[in-house]
Order: sequence, then C-alpha cells, then structure tokens
Amino acid sequence: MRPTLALARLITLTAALNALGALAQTAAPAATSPTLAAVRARGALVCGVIGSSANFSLPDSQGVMRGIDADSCRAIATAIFGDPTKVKYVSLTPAQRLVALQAGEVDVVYANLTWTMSRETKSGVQFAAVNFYDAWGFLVPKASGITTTAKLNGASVCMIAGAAEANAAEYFGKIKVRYKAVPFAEGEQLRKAFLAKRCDIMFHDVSAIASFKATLGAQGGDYVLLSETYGREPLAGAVRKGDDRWFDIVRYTWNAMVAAEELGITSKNVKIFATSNDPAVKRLLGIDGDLGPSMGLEKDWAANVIGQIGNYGEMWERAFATSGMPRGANRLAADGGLLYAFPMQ
Amino acid sequence: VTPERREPPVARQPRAREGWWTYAGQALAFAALGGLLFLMFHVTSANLQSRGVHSGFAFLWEPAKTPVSDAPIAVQAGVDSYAKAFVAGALNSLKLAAATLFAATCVGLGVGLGRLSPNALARALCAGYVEVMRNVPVLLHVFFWYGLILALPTAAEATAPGTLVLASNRGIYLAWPGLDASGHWSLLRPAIDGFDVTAGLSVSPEFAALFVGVSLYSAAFVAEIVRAAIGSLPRGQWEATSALGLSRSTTLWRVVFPQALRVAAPPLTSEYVGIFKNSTLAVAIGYQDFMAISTTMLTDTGQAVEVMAIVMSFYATVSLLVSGAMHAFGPRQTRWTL
Repeated sequence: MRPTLALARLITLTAALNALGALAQTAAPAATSPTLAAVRARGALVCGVIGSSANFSLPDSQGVMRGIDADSCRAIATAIFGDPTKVKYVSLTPAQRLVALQAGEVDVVYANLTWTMSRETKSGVQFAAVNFYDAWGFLVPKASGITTTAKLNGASVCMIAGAAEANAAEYFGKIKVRYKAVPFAEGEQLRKAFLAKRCDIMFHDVSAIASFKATLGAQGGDYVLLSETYGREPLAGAVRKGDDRWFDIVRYTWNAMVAAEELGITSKNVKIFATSNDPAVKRLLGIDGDLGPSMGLEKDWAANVIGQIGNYGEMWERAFATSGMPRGANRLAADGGLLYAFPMQ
Repeated sequence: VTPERREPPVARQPRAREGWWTYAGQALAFAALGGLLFLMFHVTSANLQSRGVHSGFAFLWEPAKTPVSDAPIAVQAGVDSYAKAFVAGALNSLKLAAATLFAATCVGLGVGLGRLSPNALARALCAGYVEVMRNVPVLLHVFFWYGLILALPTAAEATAPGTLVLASNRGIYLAWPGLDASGHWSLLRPAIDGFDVTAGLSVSPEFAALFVGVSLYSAAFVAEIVRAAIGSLPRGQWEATSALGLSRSTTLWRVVFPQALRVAAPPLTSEYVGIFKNSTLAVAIGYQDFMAISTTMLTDTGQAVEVMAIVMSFYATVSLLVSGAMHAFGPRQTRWTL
C-alpha cells in the first residue's frame, strides 16, 4: 500500500514540476516581474521613504507626502498605472531602510539612502538610479567667526548618528583636527541642540542644512554654511536583488525624466511634443518603438510620467525651490552637473 | 524582641515526591526549546543567504567605521573593531544604570520614609513628589532636564578665573585632583582651552539629563515600595520597640529595615531591571549607550539580525544578572533578622 502511495505522490510531484517548468519557459519572453505582478495585484506601489525629511519626503498640511523622494515613487506608480496617486508610503528610520526592503515589506526604497558598494555586495539590494547628489557640509553660527574647519581643535560637532559619524571621523582625521562628536538619533533633537549652542558646528548633508536654514526664516542669516564640503553622497533608489525586470522599471523611470529634461519636454508641453518628428522624442513618448512593453509596461508609460510628474528638473524645482539650495551637481551634464540620461533606444 | 515563629518559606518546604518523569519532562521541554531556537536560527540564515544578504558575526572583528568618543574606552574609527565599540556602549550603559540605580535608591528611601514621617508637612511634600514624578512619562523627564541644561550659558559666559564648578551647556565641569601637564599632582580646575573645556571631572549634558531624569522618576516608585514594605510590618513591632525604649533610628535600622527589606526585594528587583532598561532612552538625546551604538553599527553594517541578537542578549543578560543578584541578596537577608 505504502510504496504505491509514495509512487503516486512522486508522479504528481513530477507532473507539477513539469507544468511549472513549462510555465517558466512560456513566461520568460513575456517579461514579467514578480514585484510588478504583486504591485498590479495590490493596485498600489509600496514605497519606503524617511517621511520626516524636508525636501525629500515630508507630508504637507493636507497629509500628502512631498519632496523629491516622494515624487520619485510617484513617477514609478505613474509608469505602471498611469496614476500618480497609486502609491502607499511607508516611513522608515535609517536603520530600517534596508531591512524593510530585504523583507519584502516595500517594493522600492527612496529614503535618503546613499549608494555604497557594500550595501550592494553584502545587503542584497541594488541601486537603480541616483535621484539626488548630496555631500557633507558644515554649518556654523555667524557670530562664532569660524571660516574654516582647519582651526576647530576641540570643537563639539552635532550630527545624526550613523553615516555622519563615520564621515566626520574620516574628514577630521584627514585634516588632523580633534573634535567631540555629539550624535543624535533624529533631526529635531539635533536642530534644537545646535540652536541652543550645544555644539560649535553642525555636520550634516548640504541639502538638509539648506532646508534647515530655510525653516529658520530671518534667523537663518545668523548661520553660515562653510564653503568646504566633504564626501560623496549619491542618494539613490534601491530594489531587492533578483528581480531584474523590476530593477529596469525603477531605473528607466528615472532615466525617462532626465531624458525629458534634456529634450526640453515638460509636463506642460508634453502634448505638443506628441506631434514631434524627432525620433528620440517619438521613442520616449511611446509613439514609436516598444520601450514600455519591453519592461512589461504600456507604450505611453514615459509620456504619463512626464505629463503627471514632470521632467527631472520640474521635480527638483518642486522639492527644492523654496529651500534656497543651489542645484549644483544635480544639473544636467550639459549644464555642468552630473545628470546624464542613458540612450532610450 | 522575640521574633514571631515563622513558617519556613514555601520554596524550602520539602517537595512532594519527584519521580524520574519530572526530570525527563524538564529535559524534554529544554531540548524542545533549544531545537526551536536552532530551527529559527537555521531558517533565518538560510533565508538571508537566499536573498544575498551577508550573515554571521565575522563583522565584529572588522574595524568600526564610527568612532565612540564619550566612553570609558575610546574607540577609533578604522582602527578598533566593532566588538570594541559594542563594549564601549555596554560600559556607557552600565555606568549610567549604576549611577541612576544608586541615586534612585537613595532618593526613593528618603521620600518613602518621609511619607511615614510624623511631620505632616514632610508627608505632604513626599506624597506630592511621588504623584508628580510617577505621573509624567519618563521620556518627558529626560527632555525636560536636557532642555534645562541646554539653556545654561555657554562655557565662555559661565567661567570665572579659579572657579571650582563650571556649569555650561557643554557639560558640567568640576575641579578634581589629578596630574597636571607638568606631571605634578594638583587641583585641576575647569579652564577653557579653545573650543574645549578641560577639568578634573566632567559630565556631558546628555549623561546629566538622563541621570537626573531617570533617577527622579524611578525614585518615586522606589519610595512607594519602601512605604509599602514598612507598612506591611505588624504594628506590634513598633509598639514593642517603643516599650523597650529603643530610639527611632535603632528601631528603623535594627528592627524595621531587616524585615521590610525581605518584602521590598521582589518589587525592587523589577524596579532595578526597569531602571536599567530605561537607560535606552539615551537614544533620544544622543548619549552613546549600548542601544545608540548598536543602531549606528546596524546602519554601518546592514546586519540587522546579528546586531539585534547582540542587543537582545546584552539586555537580557544584564537584567538577569540584576535579578540574580537581588535574589542572592534576598535569602541572606533573613539571617539579619533577630
């Protein structure tokens, strides 16, 4: 009796495996991604953001998430659904970002996350696109008369715990300046302590310093951002490793927005460009070619993104215009920045 | 004083007959628990492996990316290992917990006795203290004291030549004997050195805020434990000592405390473990305790499972040691009774 049963089971199992194999074979050319399928079934993209980072991801008075990270997620949702509202934001602390992505809690992370080698080689995530080039900067009270970091021996330095601590150690080690680190878990306590003169210097992302100065209003003039900056902080969107098609969607959504800025296409004039004869424009807007379908999306995926979110420059302006932050490295390569769209062919 | 005849403690009573199955059952339960833990560990590491996440504790011996400056042992970035950074964090946590535990016990004892005082004013003040302190969340206590210390003047404004104490928003500095620059013993007074302040002893604003905030909060609970323990003694004990003409302090130290401590020990153990765990509030205001350093290490290495396992075992081990010490202290106490 038993052997027969086992045999029967084995046969069923083999049949199932064969069926699965056949499915995989037919599925491969159709360019499906398990993450994309899950997002479609759910009807919304789940995006990990910091949620309390001004200019990157911070809810406005209506509770709508605003900032360049929030819009980067919105662009992906628009590429998939043609609808920028189909995003669910999950606020993550810096320590949770990679874990939430690894565990499958979020589909993509745009959370002030710096692209580093070991995060890719050791943590099972992959960076798809840099949506902001940042660096470390130094903010001092104007009254202190500090003009250079070279003469700061013994100074107390306020910072956020984590990456800032490691970068401050590298920087001050290099210029051989002894300092006292005062690390805080989150921005609000850091800003309060700095304003109370707990520290001589604030060591923070240049972008965060710019928005902090903007929130101070008239008082912002009492503080100076030193001209020295340190390090490379390419803040990038990350996905789990192992779903290459999903990686493509995140990368080329960003690429389409940069390409649109290079071509001069904006959310306002995208309709006019629909009649353009430029082959690059026609491919990008899905009038010619199959760029969208090659990733499992609609033909007008990029036209939707540009029409509803805008090009990269529009997204940047929306996030940073009020902060007084210069666009700097985040300009197009043609204007002296680092942004450069890969050919959409 | 003739002690009342007491029943032996429950645990000391001879047990009902224990058969081999009792031990077998325990061994089986223990094995099942171990097996379950092993299975969890195995499944987790297999899953991490399949997602391309590095796992294991090898990172502990790699050089840390982040320095730890405000700790009994300094950790240099790029030189000292992650393991040393964890040790530095552990020492900071233990330093804070030990100081808090001591202060909370002293203040709590005073307030608890004050609530039993014959003086109505002292009773009312101590009752007010308990109600105010324990009804405000401990995090607010910490923020309150931190805000107060940050409102102190800067070191340059606070200093005066030859001062013994310098209380500034950079910390509290005290004169203390030590070796000066020329290698002679002298009183090291607080002095401003560029951006820095040198002194014999110094306390950072973060440590001070946590120490004062958590101590005053926990003291309210200790006070109630003390009051309840003393209140649990039969009235006869007090009447007997006063009949014998013993002084109030003799009554307290020789008769009341030895008996009350036995009652107070179990709730006090919980309170002490609670104080230790409350030291993790350090994260909120940037004191480099074990939790804060672990969070930084987690961000640096991305090895969440390992770091959280280290954090959990550290807090579990120290909490168990605290309860173990209190337990060991308890039975010995019975010998002090008359």
